[in-house]
Amino acid sequence: MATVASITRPVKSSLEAIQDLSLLIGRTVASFFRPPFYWRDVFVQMDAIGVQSLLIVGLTGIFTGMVLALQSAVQLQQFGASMFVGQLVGASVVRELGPVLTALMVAGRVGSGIAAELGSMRVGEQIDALEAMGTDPVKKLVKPRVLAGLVMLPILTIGTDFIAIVGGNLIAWLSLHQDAVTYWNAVWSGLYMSDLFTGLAKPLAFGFIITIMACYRGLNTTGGTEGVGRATTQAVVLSSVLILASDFFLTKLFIEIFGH
Amino acid sequence: MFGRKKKKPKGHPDLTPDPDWHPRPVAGRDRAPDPENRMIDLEDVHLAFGDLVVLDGVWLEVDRGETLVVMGGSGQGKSTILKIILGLLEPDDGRVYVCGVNIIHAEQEVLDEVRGEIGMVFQGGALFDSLTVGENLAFRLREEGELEEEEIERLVAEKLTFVDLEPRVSNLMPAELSGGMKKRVSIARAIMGSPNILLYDEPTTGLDPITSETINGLIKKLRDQQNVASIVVTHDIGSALTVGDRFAMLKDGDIIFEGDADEVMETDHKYVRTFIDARVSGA
Repeated sequence: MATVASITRPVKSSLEAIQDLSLLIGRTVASFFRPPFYWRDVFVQMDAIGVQSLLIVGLTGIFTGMVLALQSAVQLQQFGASMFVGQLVGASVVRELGPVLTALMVAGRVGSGIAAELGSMRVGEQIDALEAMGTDPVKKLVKPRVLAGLVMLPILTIGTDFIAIVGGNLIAWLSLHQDAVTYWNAVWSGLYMSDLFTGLAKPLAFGFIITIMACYRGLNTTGGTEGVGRATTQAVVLSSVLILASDFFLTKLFIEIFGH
Repeated sequence: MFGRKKKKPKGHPDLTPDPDWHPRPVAGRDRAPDPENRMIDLEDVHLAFGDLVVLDGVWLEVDRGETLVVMGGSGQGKSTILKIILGLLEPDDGRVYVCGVNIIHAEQEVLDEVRGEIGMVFQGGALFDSLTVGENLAFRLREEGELEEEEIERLVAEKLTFVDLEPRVSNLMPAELSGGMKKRVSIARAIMGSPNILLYDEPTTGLDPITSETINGLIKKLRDQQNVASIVVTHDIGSALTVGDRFAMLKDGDIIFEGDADEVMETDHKYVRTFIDARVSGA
């Protein structure tokens, strides 16, 4: 009997967690269409998620672009195809690396912050106090963070993409002595309109994943300050894994839709 | 249906009592219960977290102008009772009447209206870290959006004065307050909406004797001046005897003793006696 219980207990708790997460997602989405709207909180979160992440995603972008250009230059030079460096950097960054790396960096910086903040509020009974005063924590705490994530992730991704391509430009110029016009023409020729769509649709999904997972872990924190640390780690790990997994399925979906 | 009135008359102004609600007499009292004055009724409340039974058929009642002290050891479910009354936890079985309204499975709108009748003082204060003291106090009124900003500012200053704090405290952040000040601000926040019911979770735990006495004084002042019904959850027997009109001892999920101050001091109930003697000698 003990063996059966040891198997069923984790399964049951996993199912309960999925149920709780689904309920939170449902309540959050429903709250988008119901007042009150805490616009000031949304702008504060847009600053925290977006503006304050600019430096970290900028650094991620420039080094990613530079590394990509460096690696591809070495390979392409062997075939006398170094003019395609821009094409390779542009397509890789806009389709995949820009959205995914931006999301992973934001998950680490912002996801952990949201989980820690809400977790501290949970163990300090501040969330109970909110409810006791008739304020819905989903509308007051979750909705502004998710809305800010949905708005800021695509904007940050555009920034990362641009900076990464500029980084590639720098290496193309320094290593291959390629002029900017040749490089940017190659970048442009390597992109389809659908790339712009998928490059923005993915961060939208990632923004939702990062913020909702962080809010979920934060709101369900138990076990005092140790629990806050655990919730923070789980928020980052879960959202990072979900970002990578959903990237695969979104890529598959977009290939089915657009054919490339 | 449940429009809030700005000035609350005596009785249950905004809530319609459940027709099935029949308040039972308070234990040890001869007089029949007065539904107009009965603010809280817990009837046969059961709650378990998995295999752990927290409440196993709890019956409690509190009238207007009365302070019930719920005593008991750590982990006996005292704070859980307060969370159930606030609708933050739903019991597995039983009925919870607040102002005659059964809040179990109640619509969110009804629950919000009931919560408007309750002020809660959390154990650690539960002040919002990111807001100033003034913003903490004004939070509920700003959320309701029924009062002008000037009126809210006036009420904030008034409530701070009531808890013996200077209005300049309004601009401080919670992190800048001492433990006693946090408790007083928490009490001030709880009474911002002029509630008819006040719930205190360990109001004097961790405070020095002088500050504890100040908090006890505030609890009594609120009962005497504003005629609120209060539940104080504590294991501080000195504080309990100072503020309480009636006492209930919670053990193993059940109320094992109920009575007034004299009955508490004279009881020969073994557990209650041990609890009180240990606390008194330990104090």
